[in-house]
Amino acid sequence: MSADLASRGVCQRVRALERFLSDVYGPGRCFDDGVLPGRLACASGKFRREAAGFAPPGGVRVHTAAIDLIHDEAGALRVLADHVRMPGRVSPLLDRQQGMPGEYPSRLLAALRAAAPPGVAHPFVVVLTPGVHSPAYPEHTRLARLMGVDLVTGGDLACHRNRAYVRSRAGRRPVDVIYRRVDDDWLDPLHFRPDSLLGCPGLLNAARAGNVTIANAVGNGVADDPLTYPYVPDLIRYYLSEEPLLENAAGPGAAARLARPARLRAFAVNDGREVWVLPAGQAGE
Amino acid sequence: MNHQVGWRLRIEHVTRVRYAGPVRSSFNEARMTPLTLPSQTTLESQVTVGSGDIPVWSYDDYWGTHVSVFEVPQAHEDLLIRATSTVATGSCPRLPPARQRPDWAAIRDRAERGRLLEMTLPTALTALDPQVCRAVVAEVAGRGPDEAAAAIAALVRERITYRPGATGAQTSASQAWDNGQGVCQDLAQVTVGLLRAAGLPARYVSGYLHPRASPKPGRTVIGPGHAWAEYWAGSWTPLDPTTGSPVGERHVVVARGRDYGDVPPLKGTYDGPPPRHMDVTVELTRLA
Repeated sequence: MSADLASRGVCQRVRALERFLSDVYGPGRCFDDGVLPGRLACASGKFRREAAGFAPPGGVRVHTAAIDLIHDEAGALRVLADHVRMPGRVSPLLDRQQGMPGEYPSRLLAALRAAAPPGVAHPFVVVLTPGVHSPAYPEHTRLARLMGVDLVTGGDLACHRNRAYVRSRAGRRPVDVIYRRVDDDWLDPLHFRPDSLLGCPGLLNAARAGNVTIANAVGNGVADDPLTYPYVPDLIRYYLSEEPLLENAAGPGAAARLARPARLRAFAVNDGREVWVLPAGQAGE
Repeated sequence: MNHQVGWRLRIEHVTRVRYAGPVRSSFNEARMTPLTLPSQTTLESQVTVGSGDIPVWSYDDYWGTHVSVFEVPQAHEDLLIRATSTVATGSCPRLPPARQRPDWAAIRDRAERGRLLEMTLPTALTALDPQVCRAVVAEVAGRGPDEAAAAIAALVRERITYRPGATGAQTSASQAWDNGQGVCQDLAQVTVGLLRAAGLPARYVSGYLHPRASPKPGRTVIGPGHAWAEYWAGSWTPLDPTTGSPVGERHVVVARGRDYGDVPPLKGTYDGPPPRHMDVTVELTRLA
């Protein structure tokens, strides 16, 4: 299979999941049309009703995605899993080219800037990390440094009148885009876990008011849920009127029969106009 | 039109929270604005905080509830929220004849598809012991959906004695059932749980109740916040297990959800010591 086909397949998948999320948090047409059972959303803890009823800037919820792929006996790539919440393990992308910054950070930064609320000419973008105790903290620091943006924790953020700010000794500065590495549950104690110190109260309502963009969006977990996975090829047909370029791997049991069980991870970045894909072959092999 | 003209009610819902010390960075959401529905019209409404100088922003949430959002950044030791509204309410519409209502199978089929489904699944606050559910469902077996729903409400009323203070906001239906005591929130949640167990989509309703059946216009009375239930049998149909009376002019709907957790009148987060005292008064005046 050509790298090009794989890229197009990943891109197609991301576009379909994006459409699915805007449907789930909007009219819910796919459930009325019986494409997949309504139970998948309304019985799922990952369906965040708190995030329903408002569209993020440009309609983008999946700013960054990772799609896990595997080769079948015939050598074709199949999809093993989707990640559209906080796709991580990007370190190999950051240190692959020695001395040369990889393409991923610049693509991601461009997408985050494009996701800023309308009318913001020079968006202030930050990376929100749970902090030094997070195992992924080194990755967060490197990503922020390579993008040239500030790395902040929940304690550095404050909301006031539906606007999010970064506090510093120099004062407070309004923030436009938050690339968060903090899970939904911990992001805003007003709406989610009240005991969380990793996020910032008022953040979700600031996003609802359109004054800050949370990337990736709150509630994306309903799209990369293992229960949604079997339906993704149908979602591609339903939303895009296209045949899936990449089939699902049949299931966990089938993996053992696969010729090359190495799991590959393709990364995608969506800036609202195009989905850029770093093919799996380059990232994982 | 031969239609009974309803009431016009003035509602003043005042919440005073006193903290054990200074608190800061308080972020809150109030769900205290009555809905406009076929059965009621909110003529005017306002939510003010403190002396009225704190900005209140609002949005409609997933359940269609009007949410008032406000924050108090500076240190304070008490918080005052005043929600006032004037609502025109109507009499209880008569149930359509049974032959115009879907049967059990049709209701089950409709609930499998679309968004009725989320009102059929148990939640932590409404789930009851499977044995309790089986016994109640057996007791109402053989009846039509509307009859069964009425029988369930009567049964809950019999089982749970209305006793203010017996339970708290976080008390589950199952605890209230075992206790045999509770307030309208508990009776409503138990009813919702049992309606769902019987196969009817059901939701929890939060609002206000005028305590008198035929009040004199102009006189102000104290009525607590109220909660009841609605079930779906072709249309959403209200049921008040606490009073046992029809849902009509006396009732004002503020919010509807799966359980209390979707519709709390006030929720918030802040830095500081826990509340020492929370005082809620609801004054209702029939204007006309």
